[in-house]
Amino acid sequence: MSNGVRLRFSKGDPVRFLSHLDVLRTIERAIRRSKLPIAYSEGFHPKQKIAFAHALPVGVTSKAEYMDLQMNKSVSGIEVQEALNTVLPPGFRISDSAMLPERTASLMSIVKAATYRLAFLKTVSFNGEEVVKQLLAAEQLMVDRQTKKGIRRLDIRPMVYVLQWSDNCLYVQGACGSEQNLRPTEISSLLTVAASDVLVERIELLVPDVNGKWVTPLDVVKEL
Amino acid sequence: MDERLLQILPEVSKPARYTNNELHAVHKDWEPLAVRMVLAFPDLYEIGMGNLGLKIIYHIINERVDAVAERVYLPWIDMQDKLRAAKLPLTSLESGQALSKFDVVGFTLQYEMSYSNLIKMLDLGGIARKTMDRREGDPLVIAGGPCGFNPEPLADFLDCVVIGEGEEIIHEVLDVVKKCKLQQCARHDLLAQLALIPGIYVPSFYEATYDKKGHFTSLEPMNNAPRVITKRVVADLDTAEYPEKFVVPYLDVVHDRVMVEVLRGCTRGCRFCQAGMLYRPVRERSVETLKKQIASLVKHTGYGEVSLSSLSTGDHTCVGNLVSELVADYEGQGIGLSLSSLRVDSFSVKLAEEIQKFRKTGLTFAPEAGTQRLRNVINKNVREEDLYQAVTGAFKAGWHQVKLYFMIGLPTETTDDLDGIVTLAQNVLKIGKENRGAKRPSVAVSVASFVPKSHTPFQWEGQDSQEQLLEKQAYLRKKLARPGITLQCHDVKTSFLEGVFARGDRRLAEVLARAVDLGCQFDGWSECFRYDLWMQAFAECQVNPDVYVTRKRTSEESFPWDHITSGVTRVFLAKERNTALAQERTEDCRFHGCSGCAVCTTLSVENRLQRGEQHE
Repeated sequence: MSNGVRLRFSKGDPVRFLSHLDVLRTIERAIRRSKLPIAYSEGFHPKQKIAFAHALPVGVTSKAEYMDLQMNKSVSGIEVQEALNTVLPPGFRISDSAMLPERTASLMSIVKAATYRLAFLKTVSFNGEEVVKQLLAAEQLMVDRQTKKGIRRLDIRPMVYVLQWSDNCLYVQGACGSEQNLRPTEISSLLTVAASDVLVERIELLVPDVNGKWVTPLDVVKEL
Repeated sequence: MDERLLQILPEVSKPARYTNNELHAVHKDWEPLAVRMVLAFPDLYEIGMGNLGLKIIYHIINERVDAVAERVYLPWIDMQDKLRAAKLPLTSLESGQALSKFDVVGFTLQYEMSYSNLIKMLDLGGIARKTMDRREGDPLVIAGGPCGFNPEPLADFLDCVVIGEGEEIIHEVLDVVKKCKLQQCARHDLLAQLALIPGIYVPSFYEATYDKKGHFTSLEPMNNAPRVITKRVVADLDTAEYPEKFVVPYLDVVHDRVMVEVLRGCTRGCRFCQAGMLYRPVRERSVETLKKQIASLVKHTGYGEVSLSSLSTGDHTCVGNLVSELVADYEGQGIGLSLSSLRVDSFSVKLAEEIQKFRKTGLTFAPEAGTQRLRNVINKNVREEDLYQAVTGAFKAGWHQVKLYFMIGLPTETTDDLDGIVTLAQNVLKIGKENRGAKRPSVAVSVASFVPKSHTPFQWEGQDSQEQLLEKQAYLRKKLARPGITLQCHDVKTSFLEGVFARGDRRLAEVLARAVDLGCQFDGWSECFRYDLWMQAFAECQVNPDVYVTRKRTSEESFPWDHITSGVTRVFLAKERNTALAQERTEDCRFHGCSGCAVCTTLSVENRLQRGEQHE
């Protein structure tokens, strides 16, 4: 085992409007308050050794964010979890942890999919089950994606893996990562629901295991 | 949070500005009898959250069981539009209550270019703009901060102004407000009682008069209000209240770090510097207290940087010890130190070296003027040799960029003085080339326009016209155009408007109100500043802005701020002005004799140094 710890944490309603950088700053400060023996990078700007998975969009809550911390000495996952939970601001909570084996692949490189729950704030005019069938049956799902370079017309159908309607919520499992990334609001835009009328929560980040089955980033290291 | 507000947030930029819930934000129940005060910073969240004064006041008020302090900032324009469209008022962060629901709305006046924002916040908060239009039950609108020393342009909008340091007087204000709330006093009685507190100015209790030429002549007190309001001052900074925790923002805000105020006041006596005159005398905190404050703030915030701030941190008589001890204590924890302002000497470079062992990005020095003659006029005690020695040290120690601050438009300035700026910059670059290895040295010259401020020896002077300033900027740009030197100049239109309000009077209220109606706000933001609309407002109100800016005042004439004193007498300022024009210096009273500014005798205080080693 290395001195690395993988943590799962939630980003709740009070902090859902924080950007990825805001979250990073918040975690760094919490780690300093916790006095955990975090490792620092060498060089002119010593930085805490923290690595995150793919950024969560602003406005989205999450039950399953992940980060890897590199420590100076061995600290158990439970200790890290407890130390951080006592100092994190309301809205953040570490829910699970595991020790990292030597040479663990980074979260960024292994996470390939994510599950989201879309809850609609206003009564929807469509039949959920029907809509799911239609979306899955479509050959193409064209959306306008806002990128730094402007708006791009894009087919997101290949990035949508699973759709389910349950308890008046739409559950979406789709591509997540640097190669392919499905934005949950693109699905709601297909249903002509405005971004402000839907509450999105990330339910899980997923990694393909050796058999091609989806598991969580913690399962991956716990199995080893 | 209000459901309607939640609906809006996904559609605005940086919604975290408006969401509250930062670590250590104080949420108190609104007890019916407690005094509810909202601290309002008339600019964006990211700017206002960096203000140390408000952190102190927020802490002091919330320590009281009978008072609540909350925060509010001016929302960015997209959010203002959404609020208006949804018919929602501007609310405080902590409780989400409209500004109009508070007992007291307290603004801080940090710079003149935020005045339009203050009016905008009253509008959005659902509070009548003018004190005469406020009714029983409306909030008391007060203000404090450096610009409070000439609050006349805002006189119509403010119910009262706190003159000077807030730590003690805030208690007295809250006590009176609380008593009046319990007794359900009429608004006028509340103001009358507040006017009895030393340091409180109630503008509506005074009437301004003007002569036939339209110049201000006097301000006559009514309702037994005092003829002169003297600033409040904390005699001993070491025992003054200071927060053990700061609210830790999520967003990237200015001055986002642990800040301690190592000393207050400065007696170097630079004649252009308003802060140097306003905050006398010098009071240092002890190393022991500072270390305690830092330890507590680091522990509760988790910040990775500690800033030792003040008007001149290098002047603290124990700064050498303080820095070494802090470096020893925090180096291993990934916590860095920063100094807010450096003097131009090699001692300061040594300090900076101790602090920035690795990250040597840039060092800033402020010679302010290009020649010894002009530096004597402004009483900036920096010799050319000092600058060269300091930058030699800096380049040798590994810095490759040196930033130099200057002002143009200073009294008595000639082309020689502009040439002096050029010579200094070129010589600094030359020193850099001689003392620096592989990396190419660079000199960044920053040139501000001199704006004469109230309560300074230059309060009588005319400000350069925009044309004069532009000409000087062009001259410098031509002369400094060479590789290795960059030049940055302040916008002259902004300096012009700043000049209007810095020495303005009550007649500007109409202009201000009109400008806001025309759409002026965020005047300090170049992308929002609408000079054309401001000029339209002046024209419509038939006020000539030039009269406030370029006109040299006669030595006898009254000023709109004469009824407010920092303790430094007008006689002293006039004497300093004459000494300036004679190109003579006045020594720092910490190291030489008393210079006769009268602050110590007027306020019954004195310089309080910790008596470590002294570095003049």
